Amino acid sequence: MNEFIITMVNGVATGVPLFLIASGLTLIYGVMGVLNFAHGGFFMVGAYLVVLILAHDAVGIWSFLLAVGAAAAALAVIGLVSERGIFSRLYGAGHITNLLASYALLLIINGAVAFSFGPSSRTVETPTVLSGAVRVGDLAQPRYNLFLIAIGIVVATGLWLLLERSSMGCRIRAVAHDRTMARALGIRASRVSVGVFVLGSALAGLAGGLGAPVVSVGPGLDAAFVLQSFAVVIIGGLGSISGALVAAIALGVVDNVLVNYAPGLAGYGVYLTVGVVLLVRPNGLLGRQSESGSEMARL
Amino acid sequence: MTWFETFKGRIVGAPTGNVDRSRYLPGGITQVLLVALAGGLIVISLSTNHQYLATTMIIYSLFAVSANMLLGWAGTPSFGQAAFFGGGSYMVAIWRSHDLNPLALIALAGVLGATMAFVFAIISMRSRGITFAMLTLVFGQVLYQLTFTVKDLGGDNGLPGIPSGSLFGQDLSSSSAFVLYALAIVTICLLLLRRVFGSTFGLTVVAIRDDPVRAAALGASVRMVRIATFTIAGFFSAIAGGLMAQSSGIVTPGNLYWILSGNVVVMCVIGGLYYFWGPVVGAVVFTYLSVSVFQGATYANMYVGGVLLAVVLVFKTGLCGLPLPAAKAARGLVARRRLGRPNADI
Repeated sequence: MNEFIITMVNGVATGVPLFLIASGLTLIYGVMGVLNFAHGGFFMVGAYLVVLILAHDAVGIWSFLLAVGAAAAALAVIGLVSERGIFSRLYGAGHITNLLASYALLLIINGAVAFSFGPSSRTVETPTVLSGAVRVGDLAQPRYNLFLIAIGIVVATGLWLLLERSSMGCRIRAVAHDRTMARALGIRASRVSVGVFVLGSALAGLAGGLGAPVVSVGPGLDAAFVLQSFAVVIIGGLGSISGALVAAIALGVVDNVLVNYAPGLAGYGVYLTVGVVLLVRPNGLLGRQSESGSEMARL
Repeated sequence: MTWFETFKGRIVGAPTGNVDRSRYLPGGITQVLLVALAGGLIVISLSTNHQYLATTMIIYSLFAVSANMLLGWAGTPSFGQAAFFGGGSYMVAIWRSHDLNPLALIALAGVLGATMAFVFAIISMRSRGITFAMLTLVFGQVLYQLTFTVKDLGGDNGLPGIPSGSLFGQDLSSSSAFVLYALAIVTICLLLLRRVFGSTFGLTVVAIRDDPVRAAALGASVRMVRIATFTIAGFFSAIAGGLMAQSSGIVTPGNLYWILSGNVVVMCVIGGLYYFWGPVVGAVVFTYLSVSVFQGATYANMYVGGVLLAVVLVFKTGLCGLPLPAAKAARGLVARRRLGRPNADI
């Protein structure tokens, strides 16, 4: 029983960075129709920035948070540049063109990182306050896991407040729902797009920064994470943030359960979940039954 | 406007496009034979160092054209083409100790690829667009993961020691012999694919891409055509994979990794999705860039990404489409001079 609880908490903690990337991805997709391959690259850049800033020293929690914040801010700038330079020019060019453009961006980021940092992997120390474990009875959990879960709750609540309880959120939802109509009502859709892209990129940077102590920061990080976050977005349903939350946690838990109880299947968690979910619900768990699917499926 | 709409009028294979295109690109059987012959001569005359490079280019050409069946002809974005390529490679690798005829091995690989593609097409029937792209990605990754779980597939180290075999008493292990063998097989396959492309079936595939609802109304079976397209694409991708295994002598999980699927998409886009020969051009250029210019350096991606981005943003028809805007611009210049004022046609 204890082992089961630990597996569960671990799973949720694994899910948090995934949720952070995926919420940005799904938000951008909902508003702009871009499934951004480069998000994995953004995550990697965020992780590298934290590694660079902290430079192997075990630091206090505040400087760690500051470094993570700096990574998020840097990614917001990168997001701004790529939206203005690439995706705003491709508006209305179709999903596939955008997918290709973002793949090109991923390649560029991947190459630039490899060029600047070389092929070796790096690690960063967990901040001193957050290392070690918390004990409740005979349950032990790494502190960093609990920290991640707390951050996850904060970000999820923040996103919910932003989207459902602010006028900005109202505009975002309007553009996501019907861009033409939203513009007719006087919403500046291109500004909303920029804002959402910047926010989504910053979330990827945040995820990268927070993930840096628990992953090995090296080339290939982008490829690994982009697949997982795509899986989360697809499982949750394209454009649905609550879907991303459910899917990210589900994936984290499935992964950890498989590692513990069915090691033979470890590594297949993502694929199994995606396969099963898409076969049962082609639009994801919480996805809209939308334009792309149902009508064609009947043919 | 989507890509597809932009090029609707001049799509290759579309009846209206045929006349226009023939002015810019080689088409038809005779030209293919000529091109193959010329290619063969050039390849032989190259020094030994370049024969391996040439083989790689030839093999990737077939792979890219078969991937483009889904991407360009059918307009179904597939990010999992490496599954069939790698499947073919592993098929050849698994039978390596049986001392079979290399042609038989290649055929086996093709049959495996076709079967895999057939099954996958049926499974993925219900999804479209982005979701479909992700399903293809996932499918490829499951196979990739399998190589680490199943002991006999060798995990990270792959399966080394695949013989090239011998054909008609000719040993294929030398790269000068192998390049001819690969060239022969790929030429035959490309000719077959060109036949498929020009057939009624090929036209139906393009029609369904442009307007599935109308094509269905005209009597095309969207489902059957999609399954058939997938199966054929899987068959030829796996043949390319099998050739690659015989050529390099080792198969690694890299042959199945989604990055390879991404690369083949890049080849198709760079060459020109809407031209039959576009992917061939793309494969040659891409291979040349990544092998010769950057020599496999990790940062090469930066430039490849830059080229891809330029194609997506500016040269939307890819390299094969370049003569088109060039001709248009030239005609525009002439017209402008004649009329004596700028932008006369607006």
